[in-house]
Amino acid sequence: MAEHHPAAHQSEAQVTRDLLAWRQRMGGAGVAMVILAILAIAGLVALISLILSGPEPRSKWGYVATILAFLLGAGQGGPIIVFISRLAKGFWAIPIRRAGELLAISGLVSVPLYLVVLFELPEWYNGQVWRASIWFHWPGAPVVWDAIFILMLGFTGLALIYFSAIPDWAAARDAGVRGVTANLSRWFIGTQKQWFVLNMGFIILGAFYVMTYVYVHLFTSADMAMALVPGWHSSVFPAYHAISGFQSGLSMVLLISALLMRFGGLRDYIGREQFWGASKILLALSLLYFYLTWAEFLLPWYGREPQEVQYLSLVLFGPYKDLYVLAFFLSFILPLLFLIWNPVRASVGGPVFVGCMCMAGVFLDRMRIYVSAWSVAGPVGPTVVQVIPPTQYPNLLDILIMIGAPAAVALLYLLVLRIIPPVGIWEYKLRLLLRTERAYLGSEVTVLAKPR
Amino acid sequence: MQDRRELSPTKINADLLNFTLKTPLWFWIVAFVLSSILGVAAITYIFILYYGLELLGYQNTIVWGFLITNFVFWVGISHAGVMISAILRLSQAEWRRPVTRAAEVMTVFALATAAMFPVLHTGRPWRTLYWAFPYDYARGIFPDVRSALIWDPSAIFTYLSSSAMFVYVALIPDLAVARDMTTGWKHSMYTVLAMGFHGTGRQWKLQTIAGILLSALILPVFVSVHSIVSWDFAMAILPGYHATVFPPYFVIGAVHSGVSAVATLMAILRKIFHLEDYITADHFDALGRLLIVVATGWLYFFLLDVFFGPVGEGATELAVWNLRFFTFPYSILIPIMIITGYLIPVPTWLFRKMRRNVTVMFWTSLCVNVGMWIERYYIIVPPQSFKEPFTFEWVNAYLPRFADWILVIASFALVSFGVLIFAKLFPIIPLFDIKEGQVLKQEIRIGRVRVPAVIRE
Repeated sequence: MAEHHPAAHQSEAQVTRDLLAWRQRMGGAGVAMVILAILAIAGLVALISLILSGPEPRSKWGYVATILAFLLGAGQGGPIIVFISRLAKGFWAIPIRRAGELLAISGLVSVPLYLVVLFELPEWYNGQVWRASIWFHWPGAPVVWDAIFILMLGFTGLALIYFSAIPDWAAARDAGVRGVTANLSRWFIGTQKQWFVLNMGFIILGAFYVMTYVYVHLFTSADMAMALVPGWHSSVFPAYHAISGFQSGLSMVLLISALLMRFGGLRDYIGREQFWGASKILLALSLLYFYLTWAEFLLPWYGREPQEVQYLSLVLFGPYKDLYVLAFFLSFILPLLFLIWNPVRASVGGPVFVGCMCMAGVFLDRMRIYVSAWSVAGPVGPTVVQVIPPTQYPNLLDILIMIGAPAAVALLYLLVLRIIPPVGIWEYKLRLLLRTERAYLGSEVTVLAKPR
Repeated sequence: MQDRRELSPTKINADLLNFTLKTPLWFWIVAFVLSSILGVAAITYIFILYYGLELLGYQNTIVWGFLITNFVFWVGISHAGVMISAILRLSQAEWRRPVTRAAEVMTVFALATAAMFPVLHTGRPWRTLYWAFPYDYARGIFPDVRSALIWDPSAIFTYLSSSAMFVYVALIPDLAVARDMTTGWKHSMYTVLAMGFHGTGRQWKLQTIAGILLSALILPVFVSVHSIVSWDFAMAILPGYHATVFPPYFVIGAVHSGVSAVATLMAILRKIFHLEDYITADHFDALGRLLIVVATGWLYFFLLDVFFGPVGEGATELAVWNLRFFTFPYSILIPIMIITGYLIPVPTWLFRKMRRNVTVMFWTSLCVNVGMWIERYYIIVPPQSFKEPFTFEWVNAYLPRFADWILVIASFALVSFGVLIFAKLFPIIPLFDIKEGQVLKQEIRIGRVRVPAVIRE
């Protein structure tokens, strides 16, 4: 792929200057931030009023759990692509790594929301403790583990952002920028040892983040969905949940990168190559989505045991059948039909469009799963769903929360962009060193260095 | 790759065709030993045919034992070829070049060996055709196409034929080189097999496109094969088998054992063929890094099965897990599996020095496959003790007999024999791929250091 990329003609000094000055180009974001703040506050008020109205009926928490599960993928899934590309030395992803990394800021919304939903889970049935209390039944309480892991995910994400920003803050400090960021990066002067520590930190924190992400999805899918539906014991479901979450996370990174490119004036940094590379992973994830969906569906459909028939009637073929079909089209059929073509993959618009479809698909899928699971009333104990509950439609509070939570994440993202450049300056300069264009057999080719 | 050496096309041809063109003494000794094992296995099998399956350690309810374990294990090993070749080719991983052919060849022989076991398992192999193909059209009697046991032959033979085609397409340029360097019957054989390949621009283009298309097309087959094998078990409502996680769990386990087997094979090839210039420490380093990820993925799916198997299921399901974990002899298998499949190799591979040590990689990758064979056994055998709701209320433990062990050993001998004969007839390291790697090799100067680089294809 010998693409003529602006990187070939950029100097390191120019990159530092340009990206440090990026904050000045954010003036137009002020209006957007005000609107997002209003939506976030409205969502918060709606959430508080929902909390004050008590945990029952359980069905009223279905849409809150939906947006939470969506954010755990579309938000917390962003840093995964960063870790993978660092581990696999995928230098093509360098310009969009920061966009993915900053998505960890969504933890500031998803962690509190998670803790709220955790305490709304039913604790009792038939006069017996079904779910051990976080306060009185330690350490057997599943909610303890859920809480520990979501907190770890949130903190690790923030630590990743901090680690990634240190060299850039140091560069800003050396360029004369004062304030909190200069203090936070005071110790970093770029010695060989510091770079070594930083690189090891990325690998260790990244690996820890991925593992925590996987476990959070395991706990979320098990405790907030499967455990609420009697007879639903699918061991592949947590993996499906994590992979579809990652699919939406990568899609979100693509969308943000396209917005930064279009409205943030970063055309010299983010180009077709990044979307091309990411689209291949998106295609693979769409195929994986299908594979895991199929594994999840085929067994109960084939087994035909009473609890399996009832579970299928509720979650797949019952009141939420339309959502299931729509999600399947948006997350698998359409992405496959589009991304199978190289011209679509090799464009900017194609992968972004498909990414938006995937996000919509994952959102609808989460709605199908969580709204149906939380709509099962009564005790959790019996092994078969006795009555298939009717469709639960969202009310005003649900809508406000479902808009407010992503708005809060977007607001935080824009705020963070005021102190952290949207493209990692140090990583981008590394890319300039490791990549060059050379004449070869009458044409120009890209040469990539592969250091250890 | 950091450890690349300057290799001229002439040297590559001479080095990599050396074993194909000359026959050392050790070849005859190894071939004799392997054929002897296969001979003993053949005689044993004749006894099985005569006396029946009672020569195997089957019990009242346990009739899927070593033969089916072997079947699943070898299908798993066969996943190495596509994992290494197709995925690494599509992702343009440079380190794949010397590894691909051996992995693909192992795929073909492992799969052929695997396909043999269900047939042996039937006890009346001549009747297998009746089950696998429709018969008696007049009365409308067909084998049940909804049975996972019918899906298996379709998946396996599709994978076998496409893998064989995969090997052959990549072999054509090397066959042309062999043709030009030989005389007599070998020349005639290579001439026919090379199909007139002379390295014209059009021929190279077609060969490259065919390779890429096959890589992409074989991937779904690759995933479907072991998924379908897993459904042989999971589609049954037998407690311990009926788990939705089985397809990805089987596939990732297959990749784990397959890639480990490639590492073992590469260490052996490097040693016996003196391929130190071609299979370097860098290749083992890359394989080790890949294996860390794959092994951790495998552990994740294993834990999912363990977590969600017993949760909320009935008493029989709990009894199966109790049998697997806490009842002798199965109880000693789980720790061995975890230790050999993960706890020994993965912490070892975390250290770069260990990954670059060929001896360490050989033993650790071998260790993985000990664990993976046991994993197949622990998945397949214990749940069958709990068919009592359907058939029996009492059952003895499955105790493999002499014939079981012979057939296990023979399966290893058969795959080794197949790879050996292939390596004798054809280059086991792809010549053209190595030459292409040499052409694409570059260097970039960063400060005072010259960093190895590569032209992006």
